[in-house]
Amino acid sequence: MNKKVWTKPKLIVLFKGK
Amino acid sequence: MKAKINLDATYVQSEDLVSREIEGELIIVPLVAGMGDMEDELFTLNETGRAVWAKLDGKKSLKTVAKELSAEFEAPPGEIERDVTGLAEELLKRKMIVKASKK
Repeated sequence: MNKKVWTKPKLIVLFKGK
Repeated sequence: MKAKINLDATYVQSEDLVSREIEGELIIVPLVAGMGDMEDELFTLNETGRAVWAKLDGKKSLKTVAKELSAEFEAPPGEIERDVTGLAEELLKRKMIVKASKK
């Protein structure tokens, strides 16, 4: 099975503000 | 301040948020204030973040999660475990995951 390349997992803020 | 993460502990997605896949992107919506920095925020995760998130089911330890991901992704030894710990620290700090209670 071909493995995918690992990249650093990131939490991304998609929308900021009330 | 970093949240203290235990690799042998199991963590589960908080009940104070909902996550949905919308058009191929995971959207995480907090249901309570305080998950973001000061303001209300919506979140998403990159591909590896989603892979970690999906395995935080309250049944597997973080060590097991990292081991399973090592079978799916190519990375130098120890890197996946370190990165999983780093993401879990951030998610725990924001109360987006909680330590699963022992049954």
